[in-house]
Amino acid sequence: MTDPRARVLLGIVLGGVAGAVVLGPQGSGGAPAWRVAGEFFGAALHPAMTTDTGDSLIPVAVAGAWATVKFAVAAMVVALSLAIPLAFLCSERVWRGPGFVTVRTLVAGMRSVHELILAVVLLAALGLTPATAILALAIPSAGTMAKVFAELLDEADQSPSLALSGLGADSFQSVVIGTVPIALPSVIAFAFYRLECALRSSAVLGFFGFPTLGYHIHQAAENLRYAEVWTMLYALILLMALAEWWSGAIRRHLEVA
Amino acid sequence: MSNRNPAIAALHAERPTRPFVQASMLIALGGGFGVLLFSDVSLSGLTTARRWGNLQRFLDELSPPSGQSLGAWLAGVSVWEAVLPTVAMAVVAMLIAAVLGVSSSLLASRRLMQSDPWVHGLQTDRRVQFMWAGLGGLTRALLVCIRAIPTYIWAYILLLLLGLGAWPAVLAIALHNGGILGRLGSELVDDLPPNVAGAAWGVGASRWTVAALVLAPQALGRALLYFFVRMETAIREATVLGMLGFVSLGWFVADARVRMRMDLMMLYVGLAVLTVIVIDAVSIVVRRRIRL
Repeated sequence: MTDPRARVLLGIVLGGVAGAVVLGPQGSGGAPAWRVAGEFFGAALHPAMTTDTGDSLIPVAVAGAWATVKFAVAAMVVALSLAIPLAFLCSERVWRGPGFVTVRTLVAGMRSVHELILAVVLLAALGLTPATAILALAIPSAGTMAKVFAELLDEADQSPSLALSGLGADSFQSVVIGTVPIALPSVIAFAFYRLECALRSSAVLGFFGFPTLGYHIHQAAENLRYAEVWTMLYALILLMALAEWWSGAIRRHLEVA
Repeated sequence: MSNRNPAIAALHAERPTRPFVQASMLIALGGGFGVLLFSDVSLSGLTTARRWGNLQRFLDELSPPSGQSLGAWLAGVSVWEAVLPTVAMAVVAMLIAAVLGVSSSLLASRRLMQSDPWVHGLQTDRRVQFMWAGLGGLTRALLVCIRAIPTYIWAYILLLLLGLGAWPAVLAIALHNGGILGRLGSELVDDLPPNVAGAAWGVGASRWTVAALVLAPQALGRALLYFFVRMETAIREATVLGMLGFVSLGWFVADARVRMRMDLMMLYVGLAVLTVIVIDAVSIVVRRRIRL
């Protein structure tokens, strides 16, 4: 047990067992639960194509997926316009001191609130309006991107910006001209990864009343229409597979890990 | 541009361009601006008088009920009842996710799931080759499906199937993160240098022996890094899932909102933030200790 990794592994297992004891056994369940589960996963093989009234479900699924995309990309634009200035203010290359610490704390706070908790707070504060969903998606994402972008700036090769400083550039100029181009591929790749996350969260916001895919999943499940739930789940899976392919392709083109 | 030094012009012409990335950025950013400016999904809702009235009322409700001392107000917060199940949920879920992730990362590995992983040309039976490739492809497709469904939706579905309790939430976090760890793990396995594994395979070890005795120790460091990164997300998700009715932090947030106690709601949100920050700090310390 001299390898610290072995102790960490043991800790994970013991922690998991202790956690299971804290949570205790699952209450109800038993035979009926298995029947419902069988019914639900059985429905995966024949997703509904029409509602009971005979209308096609495909336009509904497409509209839900489209709304999911709209909220996600709108939130990403808001998040990026917050994250880019914040990233510079979080970079050790640009400045240090009390201002730097204040901004870093602010950014840590922004990314510590989960999108959905923030959505609940904003729903209470602003009510059900698209702006609520956009802000709920954008603020945590902006915090995460600002932190990661700042780290990418700090870790990038220093020599070009030092050379620029030697030529008389101030710290902002030397970072923008000397460091940003080096960090940019990783920045773009990470932004596309965050778009993936925004799409996923945007779908879930449907459970709070926004017209994304989650809304249709919630509606169908409340009415126990499992085949319709699966239609919407397949739409979500297709959307997420596409998003994953897109951000993966960007990483390959940029040759970043 | 025309009076440019020819050597510089040649360098300019040779600069790396990435049309795919540029087009993608144009579509994503242009689409985002287009949606914000020209569709109903915009920030315009923020400027209407009704929103400001709403916000005013919300801010009024934020102050603690009158006649209560600060001590009594803070004592109304059930810190342990909220934080302990939240952390327990995340830890149990991540243990299950790790088991799922390790097994599926082997079954999803492109290298391991071949009839002859390290030395090519030994196996010529097409059906055997097809079987291995098919099994790997099937695992990868399944992993895409289980990680495409967000934790919250998994939890909602499992709640319908299993009834109220902590375990639907635990399984939800485990499934989504298991799908992610499986993908990261299989990429990790495929990126390992093939020399030692190939040698062990060459002297007769089975692919599973190679996986357990050669690949696992090589991959453990990165795998633990991924585990702790996902652990930080799992804590955030465990707080949120309480909103579906499990007793975790999110339940206290949702409950305070229903009772119109916005002051308590913000206290619980603060507690959630604090929990996340503490777990993040622990995770950073552990990662530093094992030098990842």
